[in-house]
Amino acid sequence: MILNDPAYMLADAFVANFTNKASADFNSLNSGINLLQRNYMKAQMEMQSGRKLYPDANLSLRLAYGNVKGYKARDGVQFNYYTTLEGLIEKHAADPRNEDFFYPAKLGQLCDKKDYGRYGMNGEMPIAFVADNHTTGGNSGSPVLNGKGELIGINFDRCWEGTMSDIMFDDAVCRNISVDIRYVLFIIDKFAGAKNLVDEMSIVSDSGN
Amino acid sequence: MNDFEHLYKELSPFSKLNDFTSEAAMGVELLSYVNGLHSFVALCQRDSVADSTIAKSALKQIENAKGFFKNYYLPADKKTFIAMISLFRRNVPDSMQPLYLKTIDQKYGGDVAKYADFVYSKSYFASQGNVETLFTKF
Repeated sequence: MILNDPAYMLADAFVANFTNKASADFNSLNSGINLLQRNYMKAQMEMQSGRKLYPDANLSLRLAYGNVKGYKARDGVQFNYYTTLEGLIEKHAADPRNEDFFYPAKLGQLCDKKDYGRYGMNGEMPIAFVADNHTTGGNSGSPVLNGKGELIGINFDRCWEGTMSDIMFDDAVCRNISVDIRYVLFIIDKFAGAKNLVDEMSIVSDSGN
Repeated sequence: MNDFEHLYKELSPFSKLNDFTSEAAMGVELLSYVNGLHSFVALCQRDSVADSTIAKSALKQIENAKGFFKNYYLPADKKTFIAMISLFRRNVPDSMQPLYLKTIDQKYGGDVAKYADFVYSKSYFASQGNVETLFTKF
């Protein structure tokens, strides 16, 4: 019954086709290329004998560490360490054409009713927070963990004053920006109505952070 | 450097078939799911294997099916099927395609959507109920 199934027959035909027509050549040619890479690297090391060559870090786990904290952006301007949904709506009211602060009507209604479920904090809905982690381009989407290994946010940006951090890291103004995981959960659960996804997760609360 | 160029050139048609097989064909959820049944089929085809071993493996298949169908949406997968099989047929040279794909020309006049109707309505593995019935028979 399985062998005569049209989906099974098709999948089997694809796999057998690759095995018969390609896999031997594919594997031996790739081994040949890998051997050549060895010569290529050796030549590079001989040619640039004084230079420090970095290992290929692709697919390796890299960690940065730091503290959640605000910063002094310029004279008289001190930024708090977090932003809120209430703040987003205020910014939109003050600057209605700025698309950075556009938001769907449903989000506004949730804010009016303060319908934040278990994700709010002291009557506010946190959106993003800054910390002095040294991050760089390509780090967006990285998980942000607290000291207990719990997921508290997703890294996505750097503050304007710290964009030179690839050249010089200054811990007074260099901040990475993360979306607060409570906001992510709030959007999934309350805004998008996908509580089924939240139910699949183990949510930790009141961890003292 | 010439050696690299030479090897990469030689590798190219095989690499292309590899990419289109794993990314396009196996990008179809139904196909990658049934492809995972190979080990079960191989077990059943072995000469001396205890019925209890097969029954145990069949139970595991029922568990797997639960996990698979939990996030499976057939209409979207069928659309993917039509798009991916068409891409495969268009991009992979004839000589490198499975002979079995000729069925689409012979029986369905080259219409991949019609062929998809056939696969998704006739395959046992397009429905969790059928899969469970099938594996409880072992």
